[in-house]
Amino acid sequence: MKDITVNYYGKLAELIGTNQELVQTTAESIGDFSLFLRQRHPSLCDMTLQIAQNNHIESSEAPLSSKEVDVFPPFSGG
Amino acid sequence: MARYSRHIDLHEVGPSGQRKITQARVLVVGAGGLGVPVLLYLTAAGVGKIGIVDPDHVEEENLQRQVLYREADLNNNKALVAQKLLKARNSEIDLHAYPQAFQVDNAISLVEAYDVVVDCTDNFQTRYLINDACVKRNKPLVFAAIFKYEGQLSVFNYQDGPTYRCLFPKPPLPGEVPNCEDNGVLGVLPGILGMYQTNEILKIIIGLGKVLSGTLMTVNLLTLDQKQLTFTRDNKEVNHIKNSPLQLTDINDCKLI
Repeated sequence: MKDITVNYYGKLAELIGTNQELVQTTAESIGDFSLFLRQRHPSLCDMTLQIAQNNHIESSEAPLSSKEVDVFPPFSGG
Repeated sequence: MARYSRHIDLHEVGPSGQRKITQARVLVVGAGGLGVPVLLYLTAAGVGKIGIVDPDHVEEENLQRQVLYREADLNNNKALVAQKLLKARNSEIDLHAYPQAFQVDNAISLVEAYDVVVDCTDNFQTRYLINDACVKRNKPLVFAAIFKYEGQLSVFNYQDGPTYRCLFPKPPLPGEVPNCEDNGVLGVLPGILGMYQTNEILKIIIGLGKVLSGTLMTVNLLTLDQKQLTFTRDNKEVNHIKNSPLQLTDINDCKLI
């Protein structure tokens, strides 16, 4: 189990009701972690999102190695 | 050049930097919340040729943040109104109004006629189309997008840097991400993000500082937190765009994880 601090942005923070939470996960990769978050928060299930760790946006194959991640959707407003 | 003396006095800019600004051609797609501050500052800076693309009319609820427009401009086309009002502020520059949507059939010819393209739109379909046209014609694209109190900023396709599709390959489902019309937005938010866009435009034109290529900057006005998240170019994604005919991205058919 890893303890991860998750920062949420935009609509994602609104759907979850907070812009930060601490989670415990066994996810090994960024892709696994994305699935874990979608299971934990069904409201995220269909949402487009990207995950960054150590200030770098990762592919889903990348190993989950940081204790803090940023999870954000695309914004469209202008 | 007296009106630009405060730029010229910056020794990193100087007369040659101001000449680059005067000779630059910038296409602003969308003359709304983001587009208005971009247009006002590009005009003040003396950018030689500015294109303004917007099919919409000025509406009452725009006045809360689109500070160029006046009550007298209600129901008139934004591109035409902006052209007129900006011309009154700087008669030395060339302002082109395109009172039409940015579409597949005009995208390439619009992008081709300018050096830098600015995405100030409010919908994904146009954002993907602008990106793809810029990839095809190798133009830098200065991007911003907003949500309530938060903004995202980046520069795409700059000196072979990553593109919008390298950041978000898959468009969201319809209605997944609402625009300002559905959701509300603090009036100063597009003002702040639009100024950041203009800053990047001037840096690109003059060759100043570090351009925000390969980096997504996020801004939250409630916490004043800012972050810079890096991302890399996906050559497969870029080559696919280069080698395919320009088309609208089908937001409805996309399959998500």
